[in-house]
Amino acid sequence: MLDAKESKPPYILEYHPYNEYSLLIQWPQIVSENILEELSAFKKTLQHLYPEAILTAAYASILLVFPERITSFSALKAQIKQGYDTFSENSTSGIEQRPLSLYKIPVCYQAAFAPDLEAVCTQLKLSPEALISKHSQATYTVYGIGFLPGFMYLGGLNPELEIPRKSSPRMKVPAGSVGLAAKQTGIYPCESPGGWQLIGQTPIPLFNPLQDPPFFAEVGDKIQFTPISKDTYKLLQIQVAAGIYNIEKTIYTQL
Amino acid sequence: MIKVLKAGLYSSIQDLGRSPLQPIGVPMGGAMDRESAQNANALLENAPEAAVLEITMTGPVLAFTENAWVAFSGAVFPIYLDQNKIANNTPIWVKAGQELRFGTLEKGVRLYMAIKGGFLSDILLGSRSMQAHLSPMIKLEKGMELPHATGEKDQAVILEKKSNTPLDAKKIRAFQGPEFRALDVSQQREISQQIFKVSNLNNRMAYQLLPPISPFEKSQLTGPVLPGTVQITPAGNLMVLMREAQTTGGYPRILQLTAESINAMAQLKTGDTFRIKILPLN
Repeated sequence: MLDAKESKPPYILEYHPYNEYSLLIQWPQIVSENILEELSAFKKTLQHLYPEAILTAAYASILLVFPERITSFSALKAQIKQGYDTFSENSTSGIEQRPLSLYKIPVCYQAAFAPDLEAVCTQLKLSPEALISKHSQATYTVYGIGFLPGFMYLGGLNPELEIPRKSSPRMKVPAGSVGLAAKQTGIYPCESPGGWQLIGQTPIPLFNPLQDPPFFAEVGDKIQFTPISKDTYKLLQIQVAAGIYNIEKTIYTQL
Repeated sequence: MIKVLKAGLYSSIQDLGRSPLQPIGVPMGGAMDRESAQNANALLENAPEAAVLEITMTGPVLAFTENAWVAFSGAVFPIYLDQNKIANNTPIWVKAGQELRFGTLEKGVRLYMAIKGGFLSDILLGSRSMQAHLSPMIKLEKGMELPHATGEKDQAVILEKKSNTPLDAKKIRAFQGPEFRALDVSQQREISQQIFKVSNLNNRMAYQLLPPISPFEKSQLTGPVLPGTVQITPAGNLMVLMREAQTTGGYPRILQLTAESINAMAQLKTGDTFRIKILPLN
């Protein structure tokens, strides 16, 4: 995968009829903050244009799934292309404000919650303190949601924390585990098998099927990790159980 | 309600799934052979979204505690209501106290049992479909009780109507996927000429096919996928994503099954063979 910080809008989009009901829109297939930011803004425009469609975004793609068969892909493409042109003009002239949502997730990095922390530190030649500060000082971007309900692919990891997946995956990774895998970090929203290197755990449930909405974030949102002590972990667990805990959210506009 | 006396291999409550939640990583889920599930519902004049029982490979043993109309569609099993053999594709009146059991699978692999008014298990995120990581149970277990709408004896019309899903499809139809053109022409030809076989790795999430075609090692940015998406692994294995597939994938998406062919695939089992026919889409 290429990194392309220099990529700038407007982009040449590609349109691929995906099935009888769906159209795939692709930006240049690279990992880029600029692309992701534009894509998540344009997704809102598309959702407004097609309220009946289900829009799934990931990295540099949006898939539009309609409830009915698409009668003319060329008409749909032309309409979206026109929408993108107008959108691009508005963006470059600064009419469009793009507020970003930032969520802060408390994470306990202590040994009892971080089965791979010691081994990861040894391999990366970092002290636990250095690893924790590098992991919790970055602001991450949600590039995609998949693998499990509410599993966010987070980009923006400090390159010093890049480490391959474990050679043999665990059969059971507990819910809330925070892991590292290559250029990414992520949180397991539920118990699952998994091969990521586990360096911490959050006491807050990320995905709750009994709540509406069950999940708080969408592609394009920002995530930060706040280091917490074992005592705070337990306190938050109690707050969660009592139903009084809310994820900390900030909305800001990027310059 | 219906009591599960024996669970069978893999039976689960399914409806049309949770497609609106794809953007937050929830698999669509729902009946694997949607056409047969809807046909079973239609026989009872149920709404298409009424929950049905999806029975796979070997059937459960079920005891009815209330009267109910039921209808079966999809795979062919000998079905016994107490001692009497009953048929697919027509409504059947079941009386409280009767037991339903299934013989050895004859054709296809997934059978749908609709019940008048539908199964009434809990709705979770807009659907009653059992789903890994979401619902407390992902399949029937011995001793479970399945709530359902209660039936009245007067069914307006006794319909007979078959599902359009073939139970032994020899041709699976697909469109070119977004990365189809990244394949070599020789690989594209391999796909059209190969006789594929369903490997023993097949379930509600995916079907892996045999044999692999030539290796394909190009890297690929993670993107959205759908049920029916065919991915190719670096070793050249084709993976057909099914209803419970995850919502994004990092392998090249070389084909996309037609809506009808996803249903047809859902009736194929380990060892079944077929060809892939590539169709235009525009």
